[in-house]
Amino acid sequence: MPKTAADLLFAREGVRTTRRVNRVAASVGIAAAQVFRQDPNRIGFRFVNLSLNAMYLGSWSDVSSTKGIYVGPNGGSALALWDEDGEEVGYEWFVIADGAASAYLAVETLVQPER
Amino acid sequence: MRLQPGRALNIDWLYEVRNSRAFASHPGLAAAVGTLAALQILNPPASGVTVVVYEIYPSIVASGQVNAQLSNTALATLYGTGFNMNAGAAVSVATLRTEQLAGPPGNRIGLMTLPANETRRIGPQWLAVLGAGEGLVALPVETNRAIEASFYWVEF
Repeated sequence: MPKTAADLLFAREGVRTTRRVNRVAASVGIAAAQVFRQDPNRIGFRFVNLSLNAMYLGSWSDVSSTKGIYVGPNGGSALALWDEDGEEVGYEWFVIADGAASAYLAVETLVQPER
Repeated sequence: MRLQPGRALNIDWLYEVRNSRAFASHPGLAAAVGTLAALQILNPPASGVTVVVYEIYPSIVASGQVNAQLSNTALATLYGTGFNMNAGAAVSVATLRTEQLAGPPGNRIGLMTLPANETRRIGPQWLAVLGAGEGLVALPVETNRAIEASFYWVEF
């Protein structure tokens, strides 16, 4: 009988998961930079803009204000899930901001390797 | 992908004072024959902060015109840093600088005609956003004029 969230998740999906926070970096400036590595074990991520500058997110290296998913300042966020957004969740992701030293929170949910 | 907007971005001076992000300084420069006494707030290169200039109140000893100019060239003399409006908290990253100039620098963004020894705000509130390496200069347009100015700003 499942007793924890992990048990429920394993019963439903057949996998156990783990979490990584800001695995690559915790801020970005006015040049595009990697925010999530290419990782097929990633089943979801949550990205929160903690700065006062606009940010643009995308799974392409030339992300920009004219080629990116807008994530607003002061707590704007983007949430991607494997069963909604497909394989792209595991791609390499990039972000760019309108101002220097713009802080963000990048949380990934990864499938744990089988023991 | 599910997206959520952030909170409305309203900069409130009192809020920034209470959160130790508001600063003030009052530089001045004496008159010198044949030159313009210039005061500058400069966000230093690679500072890691954004400066938003809240208000500038200049005063000159003889009536005349005072200009605000965007100029990223650091003036020669460091006057100092700004005091945190939350008394006792850390001083500013932005610096105040002075120099006697041969001519106005950069691009004019505001002007005001002032009677002698009076002070008024030049331009609107929230006058300019200065990224790293960017600066704002206040100076009289006539030579041989002393100038003082109160600068108020926030840093993020």
